[in-house]
Amino acid sequence: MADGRDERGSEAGGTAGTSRRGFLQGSLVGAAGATLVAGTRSGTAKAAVGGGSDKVAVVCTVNGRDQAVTVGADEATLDTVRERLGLTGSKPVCRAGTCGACTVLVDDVPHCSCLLPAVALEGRSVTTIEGISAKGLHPVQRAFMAEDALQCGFCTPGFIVEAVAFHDAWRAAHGTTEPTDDQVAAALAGHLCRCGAYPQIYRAVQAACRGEHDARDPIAPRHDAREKVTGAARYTVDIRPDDLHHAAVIRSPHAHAVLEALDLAPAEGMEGVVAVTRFLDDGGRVRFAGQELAAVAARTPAIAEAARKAVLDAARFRVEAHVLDFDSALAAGAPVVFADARKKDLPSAAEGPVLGAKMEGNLRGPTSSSMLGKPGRADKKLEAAHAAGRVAQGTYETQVQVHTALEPHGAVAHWHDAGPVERGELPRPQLDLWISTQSVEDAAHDAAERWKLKADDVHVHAEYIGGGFGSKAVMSMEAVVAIELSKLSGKPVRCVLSRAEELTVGGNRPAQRQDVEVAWTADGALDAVRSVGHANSGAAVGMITGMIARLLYPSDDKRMEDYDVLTHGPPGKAFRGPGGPPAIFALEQVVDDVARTRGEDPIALRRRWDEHPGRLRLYDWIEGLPAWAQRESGGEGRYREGTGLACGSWFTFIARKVRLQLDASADGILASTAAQDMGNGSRSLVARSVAGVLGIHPQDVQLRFGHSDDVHGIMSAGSRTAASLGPAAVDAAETLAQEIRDAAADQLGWADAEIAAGGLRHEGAVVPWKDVLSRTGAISVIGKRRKDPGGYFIPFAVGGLNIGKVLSGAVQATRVEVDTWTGKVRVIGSWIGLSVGRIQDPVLARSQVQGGVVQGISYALYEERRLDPTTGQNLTRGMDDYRIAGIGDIGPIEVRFDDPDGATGDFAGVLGGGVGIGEVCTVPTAASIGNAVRAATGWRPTHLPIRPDRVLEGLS
Amino acid sequence: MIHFPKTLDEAAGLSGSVRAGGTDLQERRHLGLDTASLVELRDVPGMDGIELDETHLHVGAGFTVHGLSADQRVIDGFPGLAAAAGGLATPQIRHRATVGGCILQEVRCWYYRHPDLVCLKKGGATCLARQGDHHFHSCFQLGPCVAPHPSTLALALLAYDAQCELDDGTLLDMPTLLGDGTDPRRTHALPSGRLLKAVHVPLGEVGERAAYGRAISRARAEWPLVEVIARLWVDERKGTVTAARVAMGGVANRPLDLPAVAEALVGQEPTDEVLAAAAAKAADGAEPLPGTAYKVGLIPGAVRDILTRARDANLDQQPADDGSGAATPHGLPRPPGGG
Ligand SMILES: Cc1cc2nc3c(=O)[nH]c(=O)nc-3n(C[C@H](O)[C@H](O)[C@H](O)COP(=O)(O)OP(=O)(O)OC[C@H]3O[C@@H](n4cnc5c(N)ncnc54)[C@H](O)[C@@H]3O)c2cc1C
Ligand code: FES
Ligand code: FES
Repeated sequence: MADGRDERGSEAGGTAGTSRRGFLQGSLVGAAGATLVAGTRSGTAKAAVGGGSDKVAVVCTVNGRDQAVTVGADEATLDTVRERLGLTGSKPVCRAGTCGACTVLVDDVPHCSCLLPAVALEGRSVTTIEGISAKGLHPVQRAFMAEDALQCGFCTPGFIVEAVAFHDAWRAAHGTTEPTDDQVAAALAGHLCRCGAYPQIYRAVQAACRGEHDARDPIAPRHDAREKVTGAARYTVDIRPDDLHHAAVIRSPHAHAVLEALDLAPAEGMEGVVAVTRFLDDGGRVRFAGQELAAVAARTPAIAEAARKAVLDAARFRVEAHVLDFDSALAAGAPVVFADARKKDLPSAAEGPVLGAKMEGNLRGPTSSSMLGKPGRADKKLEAAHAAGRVAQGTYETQVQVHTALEPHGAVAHWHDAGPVERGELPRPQLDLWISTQSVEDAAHDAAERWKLKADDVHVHAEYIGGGFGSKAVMSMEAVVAIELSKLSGKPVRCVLSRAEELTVGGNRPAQRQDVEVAWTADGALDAVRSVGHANSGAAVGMITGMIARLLYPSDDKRMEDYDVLTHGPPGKAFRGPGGPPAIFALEQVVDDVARTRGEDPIALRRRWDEHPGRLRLYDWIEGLPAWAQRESGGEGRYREGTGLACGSWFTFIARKVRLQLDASADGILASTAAQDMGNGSRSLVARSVAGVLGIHPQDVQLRFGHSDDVHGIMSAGSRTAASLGPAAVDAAETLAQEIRDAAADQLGWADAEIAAGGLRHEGAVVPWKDVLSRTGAISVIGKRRKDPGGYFIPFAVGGLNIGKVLSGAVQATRVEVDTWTGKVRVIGSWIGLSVGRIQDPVLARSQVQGGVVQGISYALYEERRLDPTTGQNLTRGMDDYRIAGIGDIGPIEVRFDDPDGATGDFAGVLGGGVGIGEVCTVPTAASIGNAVRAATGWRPTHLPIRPDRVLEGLS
Repeated sequence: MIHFPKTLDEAAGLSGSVRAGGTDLQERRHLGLDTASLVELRDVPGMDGIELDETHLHVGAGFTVHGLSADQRVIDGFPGLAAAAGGLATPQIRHRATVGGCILQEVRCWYYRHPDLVCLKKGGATCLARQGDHHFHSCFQLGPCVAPHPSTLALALLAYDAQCELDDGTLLDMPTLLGDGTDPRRTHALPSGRLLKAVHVPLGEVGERAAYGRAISRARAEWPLVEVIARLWVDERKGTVTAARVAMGGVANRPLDLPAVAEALVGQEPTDEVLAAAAAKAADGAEPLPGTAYKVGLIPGAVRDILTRARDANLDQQPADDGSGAATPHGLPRPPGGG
């Protein structure tokens, strides 16, 4: 054994003496099993500045190259690699060690670079995502591409860096044995993916460990997968134009107050501050904590932050009483949130137009959707059914859920003079705006309107978007801040929300209270439904759930009333399937109770009540599942298992104005549109659609996405992309093929030319498109979204959208385990069937559905935004307090598409034969978990999330 | 301002915030909660070792949490400690976090970590969590601040009767180092100006069965509602518990030793009923806030879970470094050099 031990033998007696040298300074290297080398890096720290400095010289290697950098004492490694070295693959998300998006290797060990002081790099070797693929793709990167283990890609670099370290160590120790799911989950426990790519991440890591991706690069089903797995994809947060300036936003610390005095002078006088602007005048009213009051731009983030603080510290408010929850907002004498605002100025939490309704105090409603059907007759029927004991009912409450896209809201604006002008024209200012948005086109339109610019002079860019889920559909304040400050200063200005800001003002799904009654007739038919919903949308209006609950179980005898309850909370926004999960959480649990009360099987009941042809077929599949056969296997032990089922439907929205341009030449085919891909796969959809028509490989279609200057695009929201952009791409490709043929006939005299897979058939052989084009010259076409053969629900478009006559359908069975000792609910497995017609891209479609289920699980069990009752300040400001599902929380998710080839013709009325899946797949999850907990324990959860404390209370 | 002392003595002579791994401190500095100058321990040698001798495990304050969870000697001789180290935070954090930093980290209270709010701990007049939202806070009242003590290792080291050695050679046991929780400003009672140098953990009796675990809603990587460590010794012949040590965290502003639970086990055959009855005593003396009343109901189940896992610990099995806090049994402690 090592000698060092003897030297401090006396200390080891438990009293440890007072040796100045202390223990462990002897030569312990070589002691059996010892893992230490005493940390004496001081000798190597030749450039380290001695005591008492702000700037520290650090010498290290980064991705194999020697680097000498001067860093701040508090500087995070993340900022060093991103801002100093320009390696923007590592992503900033939580900056608190919770999400893992920033992970880098230090001496081959994964670290959260957001918490790792840059001075710790002295003498170390750092590998970022960029370094992982320096010598070609790593097997883990290939596996992520092949298995489609990514959607928006913002979490991907962090997952890959961690998985590379795991893979390399695993292969060294275990060869090509596959690690278990649990081993993978343990290794990746420090990473979060909001898109919910976890099922594919398991598969990818396991496939790489089996050695399946050692040899060659795969062809990824996702068109932009390579950019995402290598860290090359550039998101808004990665945009760094020269002379970039940084914004900080002054926000109200009070939920309800009058701004008495806000003085911008303290900021204006600061060295390095280039512009200051305000959004609320003195005397104006603050309606939620976090509301934007003013903003500053400065040379560095630190100066901007100091200026922000100076302004906020000097601000004076007259604080008034606030209301945060249903009861206080509706109490007599409650402060009214929008007492003095004009109705049309109310911020909207809805995705579509806000339905009209009367407003009294903080209560707005019922919305006019309650006028549909025969509400009066429903009331009468319910009265009779109550008397006959044929009603099931309940009150259900759901929490505020925050979108939590991993890429925060962010914008970089550059307001600058026009370049050279045509003679006779006056120079016009130009605005370049990089923004994390679900619609580059709307952002451009909104900016032009707000700042009175010509549409042609606004250029919006969003090549990659790190998730949106509805929160980035309409232009929000970060863009206003960046544009305004850039206009004032003439500098490019960046405004990116911190995670605390993102979790506060980034948008949310309102809390909801839903009273539901369902009546049945003596012979078990659906008799009537009454559903009264109250949404706490914060300082916003327009939430609807009645409309959504109406989509299931057709009947005229329904009263569906929706109310907004205004409170002094951050305003709600549309969130994937707006209104859907809360509405269905209530309705489908009440329907489950109908079946229980009637002593009937829940599927048998739905077979009679449900008319959705696809879902009726999917019930067969569910009935064949072992998890369904054992659905009430709870028992009396500690762990109780059960399976629950719930349905969902969603609208079909079609944006007919969408266009797709194809520029074809001997150099290739470029597809462009002013649309964007936020991880939903629009790029892949277009490439596949074009390639399918032309008989070429999707990877041979070049794409330009995310620029507002291109032809009319589409917002990535409302499940509209597949059914709108797909057919436009097909139309463009068909037009292109014809134009090439016509050009060949006219210019080359190929009268016999016929369109074939891969090119034109001419004199018995297929001449590739490129070769034809090299002779005819370049050809450009613009494809349109043509009319749907089946027509529309209403003949005109509302807000640019046509509403299809068909509804998508989903049914989900979920099996859970409830730990009766600790109240923990664990999802064992989910089976989701979808009826959406033809599936254009099975791999990406499955990824998106699994992601929707993951978000649904997360919503049902973990997520909850909480406000301080005293100040109205958001308390869940970090991702440790705002909990989203991790890789270990989801269980296997099986996806079944009812009719992937469109053989039934159910969706033949929609061009392309299929409809969107993005929302319907997340609608039934929470309800199915509620029903599963009921099946397992006999207790029915009425509140989300289904937290341990609620379970214990329910079971006691 | 940052200092790079080259020795522990030099470090102790400097005023400012000591930085070890930085996984706690850097977030607080980012939030503006700590603005003092930095005393960076990067260049101080001899802090990151681990050593086992006949009587003690000696762990440098700069040794990593991951190292503690993965060291075979710890797994074998101090199974509950290894499991606790492997069950906290995330793999990346465990690789960087040090034992000293873990013990001395600050609370996670969302009022304390809110840059705009001034709570008792930050010099304000009241504990904002008491009147406010304290869903994740204490249900035992040791003092005015109700933020639960954050340190899993402090809990485990309490259950292992560790001694903490300071830079000047002073030795403090865990209750003394942590303090009694009556001073809301302090999360531990390290004398000001002093540094933690090492912890010394006495070897326990042979045949220890131990487990660590936490009640959380997700599978991993979540701050505990309740966390529990249990160490049991069972007389294989008689089948009765000869000694027990049980401690609990997440419920008070200091980790709580649970002697009454241990006493209820000693001399008994560890049947399900005996474990349940003993676990039920863990909540004795709780004084919950309105929002933490549920923890009083959760504690018996959480403690029972860990007692059961300790009892059933397979003495040959190794702990999983997986954050799930799986039961972590061990074989016989091997005296160093003895075999
Ligand atoms: C996502 C996440 C989850 C976490 N979950 C858990 C958990 O479940 N359980 C748990 O216990 N912890 C958890 N932590 C906290 C983590 O364990 C601590 O951040 C870490 O142990 C601190 O160690 P460090 O070396 O980084 O300390 P630092 O951040 O460097 O320091 C922490 C504090 O200790 C002081 N300090 C450090 N070393 C010394 C010394 N030698 N002498 C005097 N003072 C010293 C510092 O001044 C500072 O105040 C979690 C952290 C994260 C980010
Ligand atoms: S940004 Fe570093 S862990 Fe989230
Ligand atoms: S792919 Fe993981 S967050 Fe989007």
